[in-house]
Amino acid sequence: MNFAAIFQYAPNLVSGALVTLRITLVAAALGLVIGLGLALARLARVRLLSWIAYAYIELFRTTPPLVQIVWFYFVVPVLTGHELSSFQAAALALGLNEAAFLAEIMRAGIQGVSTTQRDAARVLGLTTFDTYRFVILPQAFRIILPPAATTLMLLVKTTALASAIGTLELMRVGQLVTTATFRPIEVLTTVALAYFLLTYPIAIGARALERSFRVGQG
Amino acid sequence: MSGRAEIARQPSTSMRAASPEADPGRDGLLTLRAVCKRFGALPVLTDISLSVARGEVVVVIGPSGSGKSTLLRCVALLEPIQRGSIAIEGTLISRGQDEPGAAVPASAVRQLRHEIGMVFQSFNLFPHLTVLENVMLAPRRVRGLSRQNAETVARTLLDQVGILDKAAEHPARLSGGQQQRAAIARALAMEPRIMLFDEVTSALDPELVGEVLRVMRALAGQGMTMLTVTHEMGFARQVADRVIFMDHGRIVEEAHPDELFTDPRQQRTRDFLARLLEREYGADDRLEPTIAGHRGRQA
Repeated sequence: MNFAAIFQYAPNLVSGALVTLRITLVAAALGLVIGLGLALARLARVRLLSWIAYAYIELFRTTPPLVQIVWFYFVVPVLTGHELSSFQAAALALGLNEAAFLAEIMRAGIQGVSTTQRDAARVLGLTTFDTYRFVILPQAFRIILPPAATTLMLLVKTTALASAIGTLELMRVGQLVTTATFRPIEVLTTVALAYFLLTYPIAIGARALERSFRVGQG
Repeated sequence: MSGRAEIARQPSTSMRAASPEADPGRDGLLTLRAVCKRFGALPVLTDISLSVARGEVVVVIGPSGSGKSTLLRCVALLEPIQRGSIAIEGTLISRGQDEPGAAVPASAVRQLRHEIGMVFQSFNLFPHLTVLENVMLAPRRVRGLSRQNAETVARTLLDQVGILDKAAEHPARLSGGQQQRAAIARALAMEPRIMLFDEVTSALDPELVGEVLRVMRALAGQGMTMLTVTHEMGFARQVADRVIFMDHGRIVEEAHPDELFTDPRQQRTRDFLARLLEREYGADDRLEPTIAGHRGRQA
């Protein structure tokens, strides 16, 4: 192993890692916001709303993210007439995909909060919005956190698929550096380590949050 | 707007006139008229008419499945009713879904909902909030109190129920009796005109029942209007102005506790009270499974 040979490409790898991080952040933000909306829609009493959310969730859960990324990159411009950069296509596809998975996790979390909590909030006169904001969601969050952290960790690694449409993220940069140096083992090892460094903090953060809840509630 | 208010207020006069059981010296605070409630095809409440006067303490007793808890849940607007009406001080708050005419406007319900406080068998405190935050939440969000005012109110009430020292704790750190007292404080913080207690001591260890009953007795002493479902016959005897015996979703008998406990008129009431006595004194072991099953189902 000769890591010195790839050392000169360190800045490229770092910039690739930053792109990976940016795709992850945009996709995670999209996923959280849309996912919450989908989860609430799924639980709505209005049938149509619930059905649309259901259809969305299953559509995204049953198709490969690689197909989704490529589809957004090549097909969306044809349909809408708007060009998407490879970064935009990847972030959008992964964000919408993440939303489907987070929606199911959030729905389970919300349903996991006892209905007696809803009763208590209602007799106190809280509005539905306040009931969700102050009573249901904070409790659901504790249920949601571990599986949500897992999907976010998966998301970081799934961004590697953006290399297929040429986004200069960590994986794609790794491929280019490999081509330039003929050092696939060193490059892949470095890339793997970089993914670890990007992913592991999510696990640590989630664990710390979980522990802080436990301390609070004795 | 004025039209809506009229719809809500209209039945008040007729309803007041039609509640002969109300003490003429006191106003009818809560009035139920011919309330019917079904779960699917199963009737749970049949033709319940009941009036609670201001300051009156009414205790509802009856075997499990008699509809006592459902009655409270209907009054607390947690369950819709199919027939009849429920009014607070003459203002309609709930009306049978099967009846012709408009439903009670949501705005009227929202305004009156917090006039009714409810305490549950299972406490239902918010586990992620401290005791103080539990009590402060609704006054801040619903009554619009400032944080400071809400905290003053909450601390006063926690002091009143004897758990001010637990204000900063989360509910899980409290005993059942303390949690239930916190739940009472939380309900009182909304300054309700009537308090509903749904078997609030049934989930407690026997040695913790007393501290909760003491708080309830004090409340009754302060003139709080109370509609209470309980198996605590001692409490009913001492505190109730009136005891209602329910069975199979109907009011079988209602009377002053002295009268109802010593000289019940209906056979069903006598049977029920006899069973309760047997439980207290363990006269008949065969009844134990029934009571255990009853407690389990309610919990």
